[in-house]
Amino acid sequence: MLVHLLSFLDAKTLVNVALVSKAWNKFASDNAVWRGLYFRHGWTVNHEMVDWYINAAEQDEEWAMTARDVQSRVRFESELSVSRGKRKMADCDMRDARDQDCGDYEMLHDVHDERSPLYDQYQDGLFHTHQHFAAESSPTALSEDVDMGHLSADEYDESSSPISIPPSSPTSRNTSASPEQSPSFSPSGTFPRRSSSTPSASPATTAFPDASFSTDMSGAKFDTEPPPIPRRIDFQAMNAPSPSEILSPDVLRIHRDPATHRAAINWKFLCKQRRMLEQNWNRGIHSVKEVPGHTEGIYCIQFDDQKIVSGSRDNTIKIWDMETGACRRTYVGHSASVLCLQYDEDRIVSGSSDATINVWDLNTGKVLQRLCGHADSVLSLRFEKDTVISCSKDRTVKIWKISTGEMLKTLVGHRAAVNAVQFSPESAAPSPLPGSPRVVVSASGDKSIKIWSLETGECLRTLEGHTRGIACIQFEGNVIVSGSSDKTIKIWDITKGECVKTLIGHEGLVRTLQFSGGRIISGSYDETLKIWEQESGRLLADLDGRHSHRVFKLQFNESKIVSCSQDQKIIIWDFAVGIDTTFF
Amino acid sequence: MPVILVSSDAQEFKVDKEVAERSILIKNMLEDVGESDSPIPLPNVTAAVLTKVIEYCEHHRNDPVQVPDETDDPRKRSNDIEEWDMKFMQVDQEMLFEIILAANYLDIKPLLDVGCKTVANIIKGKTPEEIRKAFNIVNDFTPEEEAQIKKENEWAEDR
Repeated sequence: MLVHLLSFLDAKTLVNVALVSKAWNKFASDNAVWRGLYFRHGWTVNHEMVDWYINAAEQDEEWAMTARDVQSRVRFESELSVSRGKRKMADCDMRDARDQDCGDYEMLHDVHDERSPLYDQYQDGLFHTHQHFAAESSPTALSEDVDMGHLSADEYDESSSPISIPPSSPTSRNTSASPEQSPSFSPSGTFPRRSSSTPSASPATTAFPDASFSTDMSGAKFDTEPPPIPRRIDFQAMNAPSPSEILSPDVLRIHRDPATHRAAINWKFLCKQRRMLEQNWNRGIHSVKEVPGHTEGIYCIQFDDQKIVSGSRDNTIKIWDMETGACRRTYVGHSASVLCLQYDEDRIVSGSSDATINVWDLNTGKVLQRLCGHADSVLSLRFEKDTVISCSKDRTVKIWKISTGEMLKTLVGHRAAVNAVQFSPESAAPSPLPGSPRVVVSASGDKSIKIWSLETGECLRTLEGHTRGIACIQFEGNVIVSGSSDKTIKIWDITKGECVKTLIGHEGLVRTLQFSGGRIISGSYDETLKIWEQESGRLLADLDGRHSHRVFKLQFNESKIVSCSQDQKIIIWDFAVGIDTTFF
Repeated sequence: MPVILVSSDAQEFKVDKEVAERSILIKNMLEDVGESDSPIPLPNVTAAVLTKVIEYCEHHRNDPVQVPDETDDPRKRSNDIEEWDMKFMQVDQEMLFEIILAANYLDIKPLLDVGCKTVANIIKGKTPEEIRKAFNIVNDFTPEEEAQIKKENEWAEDR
């Protein structure tokens, strides 16, 4: 019953309760209390993975072995290297391709904060095993700063020494001058699941032969079968991996009921990871990886946990393995720069300076449909199911039907290039406008934002306030956030039809932004990315000194930002430094 | 038809069936027994406490039955106590705990929640020492143990 009572408390109060007396401490450590707290915070878990872990662990002999206590550590160490050999947590479908794949991330590990007080905390833990976790997770660049406790550095040698890789094989023939041949590589600082980039293969392994696929791919002709594009693990599949195959022993040890030794999610641990991740965001603590992208500026990217898709001034679209940084595909089909793109499970839709929109098969690069009708560069687009909405330098917004290639509607009204567009997805909550129509929101060089009815194409509202052209927008519910050539970001209330806040800080055109979970992140021609608190408009962190040219596009999720620039690089800013995101 | 409840100190309380059935324990008992006018003994509840509990059930007799909620209900917060309940809970600490225990025993979930929220609000914002004082608890940690726990929980402090 005390547990029930404590479930009404927040983390800070709970830790005070834990200090009251031994009896209270016991209640304050109750897993159910922390589970409740976790969800009350609005934090989410990967339920599919949690269920898989709890069920699969019971049948996993190797998992059972790790149940032994610290005294059998020596054993764990050897297991650890063995299981690393399996390249943990990568997609099962990719096992075969993996051995040849040593990735081509550039040297890239750094952490901005000199020494975060958080690192001391890694030494503590719920269970005595925590230190191992901490040490292993410590970002490479920081490892000398971190007190490794009783662990010798050698034990985690693999994760702390960059592995040098011989220059790429002759396969990268068409990119011989590009930075793609970067000879070194360093594993990321996150936990094994997402970062198991430590290649098991010996350093002598040759580079991933992706260049054989980076020649013209429009016809999707391969000399050999191309490696599959990384996909999510299907935890419900019959051949789903076992926990000990893909999770580090530390993760296995932490998520175990200390009394019964059965697999159990350690909710206090997850609360702590979430909290520390939030702190990293708020303090700007991150590690950086660079993908030495294209041979020209990169205009657009989109990413998920497994891959990054990018479009460039070199006319191509490339698909990158998020884990290793290896280029998996290069698709050629546009005759000019690829300015914008979006992908879903099966398709990529891209817009180009050649005034066309291509719909590609994501996996083969086959062009499934070409949408022609714009009179000038296609600057931005969005699609869902069979509908594409695009905007162009020709001052129009167009609505298309993919299956037939038909142009359904042209929205005319802007007096200059339309730079950005977004529309309400089918599942969206009703818009706040009278009659709650599904809407299209567009932003233009004419300094205005227009809201249109998706159904009728009628312009419902025009928002004005920026003093120069608008480069980017996002809307969600009643909120629009826009970035402009006037160097500001404005937050708009759709119902009121007015600007409610202006964020000042960038020193150049604000070219790209996203808002989500109380944060706005923006990228600018001033070569920086900035993280803002949406509620207060406060600048939380400035990510500078990494891009050496205009930032064109960014996207972020709960633990990282991916951005691209005219400097031809894709940068992955990972805020899960020292944080286990296995179950997020 | 009224139901007769008997407290641990043998006092009889005549209440409407609808009121008595706010207690899931009593509701289940009545369902098991069927139509019967024999008094229901409640050996864990004193007359003083039972008076308070009945007062609560009278006031909330028409509330919709609460669906059993998951522990991960995002609305589960301690600051949403309604005004009447807040006043109702203005009792000394001993009575407060007696009510919580009785609500738990009688299985009256909303009353249990209100009681727990009230205590949670007392705890909130207090230092460990203040909590000990409020609840008359002796600190049985050694300074070393205390330091250890503090260190383990540093992450939860204000950002």
